[in-house]
Amino acid sequence: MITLPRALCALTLTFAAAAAQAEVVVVMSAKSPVTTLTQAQVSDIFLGKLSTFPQGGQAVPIDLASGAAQRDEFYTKVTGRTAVQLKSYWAKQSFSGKGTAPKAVSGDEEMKKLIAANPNTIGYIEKSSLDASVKAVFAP
Amino acid sequence: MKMKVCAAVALALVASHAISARADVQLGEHATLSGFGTFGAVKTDTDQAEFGKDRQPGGATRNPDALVDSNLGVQLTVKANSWLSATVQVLAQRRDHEAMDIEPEWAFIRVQPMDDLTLRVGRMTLPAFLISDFRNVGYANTWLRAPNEVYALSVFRRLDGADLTYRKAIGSSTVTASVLYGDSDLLTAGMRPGVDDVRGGSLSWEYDGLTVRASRTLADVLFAGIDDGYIFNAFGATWDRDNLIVQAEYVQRRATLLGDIVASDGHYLMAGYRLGNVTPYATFARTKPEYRQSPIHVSFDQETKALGLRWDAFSSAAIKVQVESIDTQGTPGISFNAPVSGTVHAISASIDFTF
Repeated sequence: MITLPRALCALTLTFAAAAAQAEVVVVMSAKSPVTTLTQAQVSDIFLGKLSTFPQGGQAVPIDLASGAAQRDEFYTKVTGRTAVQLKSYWAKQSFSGKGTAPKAVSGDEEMKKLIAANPNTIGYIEKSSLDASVKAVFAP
Repeated sequence: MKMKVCAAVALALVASHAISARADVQLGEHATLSGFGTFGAVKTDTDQAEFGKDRQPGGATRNPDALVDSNLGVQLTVKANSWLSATVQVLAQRRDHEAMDIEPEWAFIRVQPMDDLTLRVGRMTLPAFLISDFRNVGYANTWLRAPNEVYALSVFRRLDGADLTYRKAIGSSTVTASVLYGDSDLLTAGMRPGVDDVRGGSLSWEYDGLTVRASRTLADVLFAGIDDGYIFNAFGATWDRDNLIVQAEYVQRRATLLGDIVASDGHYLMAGYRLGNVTPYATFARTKPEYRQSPIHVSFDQETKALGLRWDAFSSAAIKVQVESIDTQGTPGISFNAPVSGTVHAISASIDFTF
């Protein structure tokens, strides 16, 4: 049973990550006309229930790769779902052809680069990573 | 047989370990390959009859059976742009033969002309139930197996046709209305009666963690020279919030001419509670024929009490165990291929994964 230590390790990492919670903000390109969004709107966009912004324009959510502490914090605060619940949610959606989980990037820098370049994208980063290329549209 | 089951479980563990690191293989910019599966085994404490689900011709006795619950699905989704996509899902599963069949379970084109409206054309799961859409995906469900007392009552499960779904947010709740039309095929061992003019509709309402749904499906079934009208009504509700999961459904199967042997009701109640990565749950399910005086029935009386546990042990795989006690009042019920006397106990274990 080589898989057990790995599961325990993952469990430990999950708890460790939860203990070191960072402050996360939802961001869009500085060029986007969107100024602010509600928690329900952000939640719907990231769960694939809403594909356009209330002000108009295609909404393309960008995710962090699973396992990132910021990701768990973002989804718990905004959608009320834990990483496990989220995984189950996307299994339901994708295997009935209703939608697929957002594309994921590996970290804040990559996230900012993508978002700054495309006004339709929306993502979330650590508050301290904010710069002039992106703007905060919601703080959970 | 025992060795086979052990090998299957070992294989599943190795497989889930190998694949849990990666999910959703991106093929170029537009295509995504993904999949899911279950490796499970079930055994009962009787050799009087075999225990299975749906139209499966055989299943578990005191000898464990690994094909009642095991399946493997692979799905390819091609997204042309924001409003046009195509999905094909091939599923290996024991259906109406002893061995596993590999069949396309879904194959449709999806058009979304506006945010609120979706049209799908092709082959789809017939959405008669609350969880029809993802019933085969073990990982997406709390329980090990959907209660047969309700889910086996629908004798056909697929739709070759089209459906149109309208979804509207009203305040903080969402209302979804859907209509469908097409053909289907009946799943019976040996015979394949025609099922035409399948038409149906459903209405659901979501608010917070609550989903309430009602659906009605009608069809013309040509069976042994008789053209009969088939009616299936389903009412369901789910509550999933703050670690508490409650789900219940009540369904009615009716027929215009052969009502005496076809008409049956079924219901279940499931409740579970998430304790971190472990979710214990309990299910109570029951079905009964509507006309008891009729000498023959499509399905008989059955009542099941089940206790189970889902453990999200890995990032993309969950381990489940379930014990159940099944009373058929001396009939074959709806899960056995011959009459059984007394209460039958069954124990099942599975690993459900996605990749």
